Amino acid sequence: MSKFRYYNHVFFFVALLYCQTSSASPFASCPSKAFLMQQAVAQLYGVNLVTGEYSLLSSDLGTNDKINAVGFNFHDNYIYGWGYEWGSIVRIGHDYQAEALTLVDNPGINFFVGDVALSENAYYFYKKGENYGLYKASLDEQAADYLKTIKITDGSTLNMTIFDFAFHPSNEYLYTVDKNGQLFRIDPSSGSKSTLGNVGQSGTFGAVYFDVDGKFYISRNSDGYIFIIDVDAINPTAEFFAYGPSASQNDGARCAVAPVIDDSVPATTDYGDAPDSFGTTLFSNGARHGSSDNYLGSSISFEHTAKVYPSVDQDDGLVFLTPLIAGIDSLLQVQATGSGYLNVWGDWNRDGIFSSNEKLISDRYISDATEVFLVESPFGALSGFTWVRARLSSIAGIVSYGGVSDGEVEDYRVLVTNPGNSQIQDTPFYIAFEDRWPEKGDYDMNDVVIEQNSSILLTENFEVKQIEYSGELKALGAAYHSGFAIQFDNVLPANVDPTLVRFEINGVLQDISPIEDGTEFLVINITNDLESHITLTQTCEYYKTESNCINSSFMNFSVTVPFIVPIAIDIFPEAPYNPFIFGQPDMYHGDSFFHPGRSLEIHLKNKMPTSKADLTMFGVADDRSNANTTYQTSNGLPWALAVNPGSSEEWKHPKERVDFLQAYPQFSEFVESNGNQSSTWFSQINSVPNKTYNF
Amino acid sequence: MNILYQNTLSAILTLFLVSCGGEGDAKSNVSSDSDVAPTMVVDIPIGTTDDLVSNTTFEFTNGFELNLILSALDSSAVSHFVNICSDYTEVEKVYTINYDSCRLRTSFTATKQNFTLSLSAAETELIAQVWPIENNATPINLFWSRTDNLDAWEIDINN
Repeated sequence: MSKFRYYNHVFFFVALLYCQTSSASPFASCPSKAFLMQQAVAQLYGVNLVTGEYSLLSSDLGTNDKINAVGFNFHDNYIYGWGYEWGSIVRIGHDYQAEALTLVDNPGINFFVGDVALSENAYYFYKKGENYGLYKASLDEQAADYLKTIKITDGSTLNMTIFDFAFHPSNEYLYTVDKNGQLFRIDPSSGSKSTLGNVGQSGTFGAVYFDVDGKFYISRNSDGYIFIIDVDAINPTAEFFAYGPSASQNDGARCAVAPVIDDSVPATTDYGDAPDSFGTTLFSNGARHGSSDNYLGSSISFEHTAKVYPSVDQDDGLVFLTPLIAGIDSLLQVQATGSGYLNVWGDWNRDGIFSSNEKLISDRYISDATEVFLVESPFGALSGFTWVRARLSSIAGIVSYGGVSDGEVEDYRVLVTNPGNSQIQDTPFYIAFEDRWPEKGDYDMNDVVIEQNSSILLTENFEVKQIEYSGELKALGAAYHSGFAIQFDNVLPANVDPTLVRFEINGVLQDISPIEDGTEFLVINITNDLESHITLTQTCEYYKTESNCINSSFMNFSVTVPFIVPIAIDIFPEAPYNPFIFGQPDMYHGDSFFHPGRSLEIHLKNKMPTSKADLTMFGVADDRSNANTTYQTSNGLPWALAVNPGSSEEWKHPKERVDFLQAYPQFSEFVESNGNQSSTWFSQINSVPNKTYNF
Repeated sequence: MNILYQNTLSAILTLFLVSCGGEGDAKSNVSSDSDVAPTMVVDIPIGTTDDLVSNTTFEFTNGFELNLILSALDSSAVSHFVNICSDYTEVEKVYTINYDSCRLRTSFTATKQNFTLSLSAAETELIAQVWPIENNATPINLFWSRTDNLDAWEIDINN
C-alpha cells in the first residue's frame, strides 16, 4: 500500500468515526422536480425540468465539502450521493442533511458519477481509469451485503469521460453523454457499454435525468442549457429543451418514475396557445415559462398543460394597432410588467412553424412600460391571418420554443395585408337553423347554430381580392346529421385557385379543399357532418342546447379564399352571404324524403339554393318556396335566421324545445313591423334568460 | 296580428313541449285565462311562432349602412392608419378598443376614399382611432353616434 493510500484510509476511517448517525425521515414521495447539487460546499436546488426554473432547497447540507454523484432512490425515497468530506456514500432525507454511511471495501477515492438503480436497491458509481471503474453497493439494510462495495468492471475497460449517468425508468440500463456528445448505454450487470451515436452537443453534462416516459435530459454546466434526447431513436439527437441554471460544478438526481409535471400542486407554468405545429404543448417542446414577476401585459395565467387553439388564454400584452402590412411599417403596442427582453416571431409563409429568421422583434429590452413600436413584416409575407408569438424573458436570445425560467409567452392570430389594402370586417352573424325543412319543426332555432365572422381585403381600386370566412359551432340541437356550407352568390368558382385556399378546422390545416366541385357559384363546404366534430356527453342528448349541458368539445373553422381576378365591391355579395346546411349522404333526414343527402339544402329566407339542390323538394309539407321566394312557410317564416348582435355581446340561442318567441318576445313585433320596430330584439336584455342557453 | 297583445297580463302554462330538436313539431298550447289568481302570474310572454306571420319579402335581417368618407391626406404628412371600431371603453380619456370589433382598418391615401359599412342595429357608436405611423405614436380619437341620425361620416385629419 502506498503512503498516500495509507493516509487516505486513515483519513476516511477517522472521518467516519465522526459521521452523523442520526437518521432523518425520507422524502414523502417521489418528486417530479429534479435535484441539482452545486458548489464547492454543497448546495441543493430543485429544478422544474419543464421550464428550467430552479430554487435553492438547502444551502446547509451538514457538510463543508462537495457532494456529488447523487441519485434518488425510488426504494426508500432518499437521495444518495458521494460526500467528499467523508469519502463515502451519504444519504439525504427530507431535512436536507447529509448522513454519511460506511462502505465496506471503500475504493478510497472520491466519485462524481453515480445513480441509484430502479430494479434493485443499489447505488452505482463510476470513475474512469484502470485503478477504478464501475462499482455498486447495496442500499438494502436487510441484505447481507448492505453497503458492501462490489467492483463490476475496471475503468479502462469501461472508459468514458463522463460527469453523470442515470438509470432508465424501465429497461435497467444506465445512460450517459460524454464531453464530445457520444451517447452511451451501459449494462450495469456487466459494465459493458454500447455507443448509440453522437447527439450533436458537446460539453460537460454534469446533471442527467430520466422522466417516467424514458425521455433523457442532460444539463450542460457551462450555459445551463437542458437538452432532451429520445434514447430509443435510430439517431438520437439532443434537442434544446429549457434554459436551466449554469454552474462550474453540477450533479443531478431525479426520481425517474415521476412525470415532469406535478398536477397535485398549483400550476406554475405559462404556455402559449397557438396550434401545436408551432410548438405549444410540452409534448411538442413548446414555449413555456416559469412563474416570475416579469410578464407581458398586466396579468399572467399558469397551466399544468397547454391550451391549444381554438382553446385560448387571455393574452393582454400586445395590441396590433394596425394589421401587419407586408414590406412597410406597422404599429405594435407592447405592455410589460417587470423587465426583460422581448422577442416576437411571425409565421410569414404560413407553414405552421416559426422559423428562426421569421422575426419581428429581436431582444428589445422593455421594463415596466407600455410602448408603441414600429415593426416591419417582410415584403414576401403572405396576406391573410397568421400567427405571431411574443416571449418576454430576462434571458436574451431565446428561441421560439422550449422552457425558460421566467417571463411569459403570448400567441396571437393576426392579419397580414399588403400596402394599399383595406380590411372591411362584417359584423358577426349567428346563423340559426331549424333542420326539419320542409316541415316546420319545433322552431327552437337551435338545431344548428354557427357564429360566423367574415372580412374582405380590398385593393386600392375597391376590389375584393380575398375573403376570410371563419366560424364556430355554437349549438347542435338536432337529431339529424347535417353538413354546413356557404355559397357566395354570383361569384364563379373558376375565379378561385383551390390550391391557394387555406382551410383550417380547430386550427389544424386541412389537406382537402373546401371548394365544392360542380357548382354554378362558389360554394365552400366546411363539413359534411357537423356532429362528427364534437363529442356529446353521456348525460346530454344534444350539443349546448339543454340546461346544465356544458360541453368542452368545440368545432371552429377558418377559410381564406383569394380571388384570381379581384371582384368589384359593388357586385360582391354582402354578409351574411348565403350559409346553408344540407343533408348528410345516406342518412335519414325526416319522412318527407328518403335519404336526400346533399340535395336537401336549408338556407336563409329568400336565399338561392345551390345548383346541387333538388328543387323538386320545394313546396313539400310546410314549405312554400317558389322561384322568387324561398325557404319560407305559408306564414312567411324562415328555417334559418341570421342574427347580428354586434361585437359587444354574444347571441344566446333558445334552449331545447323552447319556441323562439318564448325566448325572444320582441321578435314578433320585429317581424310584424318588417324590422322597423324592436330592432334589437336579439339582445340579451330583451331575452328571457331561463329560456335561452346560458352555460 | 300582434300576438303579444293576447296575453301579456296572463299566466302561461307552457305544458310539455313534446317536440324535440329535429324530431317533432308539436307546440305548447297557449292559454289565456283572466280568472287566474294574481299569485299565478308569471312574467313570461305568451305566444308561439305558430301565430306569427311575416311578409314574404321580409328577410329577418336588420342593420344600418354607414357611408364613411376618408379625406385625402396631404402628401407631406406622415402616413396615417385608421381603425373604425364599435366595441370600446373609456376610462379617464383613455380608450381601450376591442380590435376584433373593427369594421374598417385602412390607411389614409392621397385620394378621398368612400366605404360603406354595414352595422348591426346594436352598434350605435363608433370610434375612429387614427394612428400616425411613427415611433411612440399617439392616436387621434374621433366618434360617431347613430343618435345623431347621420348616415354619413367624413373623417378629415388634415385640419
